Amino acid sequence: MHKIWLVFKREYLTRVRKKSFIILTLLVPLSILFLYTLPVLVIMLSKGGEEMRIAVVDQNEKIIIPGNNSMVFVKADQTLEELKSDYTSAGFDGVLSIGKLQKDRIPKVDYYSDKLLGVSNKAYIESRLKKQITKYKIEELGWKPDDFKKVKGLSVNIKERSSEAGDEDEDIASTATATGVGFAMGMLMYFVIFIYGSMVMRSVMEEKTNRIVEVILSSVRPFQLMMGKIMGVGAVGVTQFAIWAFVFLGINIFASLFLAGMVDPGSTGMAMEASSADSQEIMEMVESMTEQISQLPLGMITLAFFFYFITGYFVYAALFAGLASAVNDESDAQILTIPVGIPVLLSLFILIGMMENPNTSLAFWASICPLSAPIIMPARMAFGVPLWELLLSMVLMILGVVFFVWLAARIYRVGILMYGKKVTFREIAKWMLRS
Amino acid sequence: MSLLSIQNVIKTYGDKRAVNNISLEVPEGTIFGLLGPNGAGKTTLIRMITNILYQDSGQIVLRDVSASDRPAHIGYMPEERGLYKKMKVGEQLLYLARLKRMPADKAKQQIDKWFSKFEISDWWDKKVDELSKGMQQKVQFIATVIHEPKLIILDEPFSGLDPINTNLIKDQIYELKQEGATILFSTHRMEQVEEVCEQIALINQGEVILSGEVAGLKQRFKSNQYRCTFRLPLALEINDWQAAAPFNVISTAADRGSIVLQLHQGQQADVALNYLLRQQLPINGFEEILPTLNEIFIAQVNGATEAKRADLSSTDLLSSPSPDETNEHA
Repeated sequence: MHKIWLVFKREYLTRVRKKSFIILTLLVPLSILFLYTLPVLVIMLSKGGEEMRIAVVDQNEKIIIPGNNSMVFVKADQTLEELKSDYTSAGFDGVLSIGKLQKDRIPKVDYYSDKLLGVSNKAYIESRLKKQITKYKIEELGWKPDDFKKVKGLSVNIKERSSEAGDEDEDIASTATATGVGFAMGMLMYFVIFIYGSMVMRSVMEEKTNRIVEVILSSVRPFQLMMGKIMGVGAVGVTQFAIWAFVFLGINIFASLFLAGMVDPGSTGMAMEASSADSQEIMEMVESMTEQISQLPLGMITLAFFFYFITGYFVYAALFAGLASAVNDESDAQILTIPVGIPVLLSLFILIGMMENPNTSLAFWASICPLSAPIIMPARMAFGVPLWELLLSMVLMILGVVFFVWLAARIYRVGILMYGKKVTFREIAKWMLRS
Repeated sequence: MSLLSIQNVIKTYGDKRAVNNISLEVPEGTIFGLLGPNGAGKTTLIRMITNILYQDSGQIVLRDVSASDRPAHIGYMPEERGLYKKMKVGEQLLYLARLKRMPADKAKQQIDKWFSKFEISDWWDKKVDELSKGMQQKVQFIATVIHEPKLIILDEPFSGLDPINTNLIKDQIYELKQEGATILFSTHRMEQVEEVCEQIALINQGEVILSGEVAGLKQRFKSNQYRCTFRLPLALEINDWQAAAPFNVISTAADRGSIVLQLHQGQQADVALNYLLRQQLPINGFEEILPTLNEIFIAQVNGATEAKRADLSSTDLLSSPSPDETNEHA
């Protein structure tokens, strides 16, 4: 155990202290932060220009557009024709003409200027006009504004309830939400397996091609070396994810406190230029999604995700380590890792198929087989899984870890000292059987 | 008293028997040579001693040490050696010493000791790939002996070393021996062994074909030949020597400055020298010709294989070292 710990420490520290690790770990959240804030920054910077004065010629004499910090709207005293010919000397940047409100018709709106309004300004004006015109149209129809809101907010949702759940009132999440959450978890698992699994593989190959492995093996058992390595790289992965989680949390807090206060939500671009009714719709959607996500057995899913994250990593890292030990050069590596890649890719296809129909027998078998369970089971859990299936899958997963680590260790101890000759899969199979 | 005792060890790979019933005793405090051509089974035997491989049958005992503890008491420099390229020299040595169960503070003291011995005190923070090949070999040697092992196993220790580093390592080997370490030295280069080792075992095709003290072996396999050198070129031809001489002249040197003679059965060197002196020849020197280990080995392998009517190809490596190898150790 002491030696595994020493190997673990070396594997962990040499990686975590590497410049490339620090750069990558910081770069990912920074680039996301950058993409996150870029539009806001661009808008903020583009607002630096002078305020536009826009003359409004309203034939109805009652539409008022409130200004924002890039535009001021002034009710004009002159006629449209006068302004059109010479708006600059009157001190305006453009003329907005609003046509007569008539029954069953949308008024004509024109803007005259030699300069364009710009996308966000145009969207702003359109949304304000729509709001006002809607108000007059409702009055015209003889409705009360409240009635309209009632009709507008109408929505029909199919609530899916699990027939297997004991509690009649317990809802299961909507299919769309479950699909999204499940797919995201499956993909995340897929990346974890490949990124950190191939890190283990490179580490094994490095030791072998550096020829230090025989020196090390005169001090530690191959199994100790392999386990220390797998655990060390795994800890690097956990560290990286923990850092990212903290940074994202930080970004979110920063974004909601700082950015929101800094930017006027009424002027941050097209998306936010939606009318209040639209934003209310979005709010409702977000709320219902949050509600649905909270209806998922979240604690359970998180725990299970963590469980499959660790066990899945162990299974695949062990396989990567075992096969990498047989590698003599880079070109071997590609061929020898194919058998590890196949179950991962298959799982991914099953995951995609499962999004259509989560209850096939294929999905069931894939969710209890240790090679595919780490990707499939967390995704299936979002749709609701009977407890016995989950427990069965977890027990098989633990047995799978023991089996694949054992199997990989058998390949590893022979492969790691095998130099010069190209190794075939048949030979690897022989190593597994040899005592 | 032997430190390492190997008894009837057998190791088979598939259907190939790499080590076939080898028994050896390595006495404490000696430099022991394990000799044999490439593929004779030396590395397999060493890997079993260091617990990298396990024997199929037989026993390997390091005195007063249990089999599972053996690695901590052995320092092994494999033929195929290397270091972590991106790791700092100091950290690397510390790591390797810790893997051999040496406590960290003791390991640091040892590193300091060896750094000052090799005058490389400022290397702690250097990465291995910043060092030249010769420098890396010094680090490799320190890594082998840092944990003060009882038994030091060096597999082809001088391959790839320049003459200066070869001498440096040789001196360290002698010094470690003085301090009580036992050194097992594996090589296919016989001439290195004659210089360094006191005892040897010759291995061929997985079997020990000869073992013992170097001096004793040379006496055992000598053929009673002597070389006599002269101040002036000798006028006598081979056939001119009298039949009464207690020896046969086998050859005369091209410059006629020396002859090689073979004593007749039962004759002694002093009788031969006496005879030569009586001939009033301008004698400069008279010395016994002892066989080299290379010659002994080839004779043994040929003898063994003739009996077996087996292939001789494995000995080619010994009789004609490749040109680059000859240069390395020139």
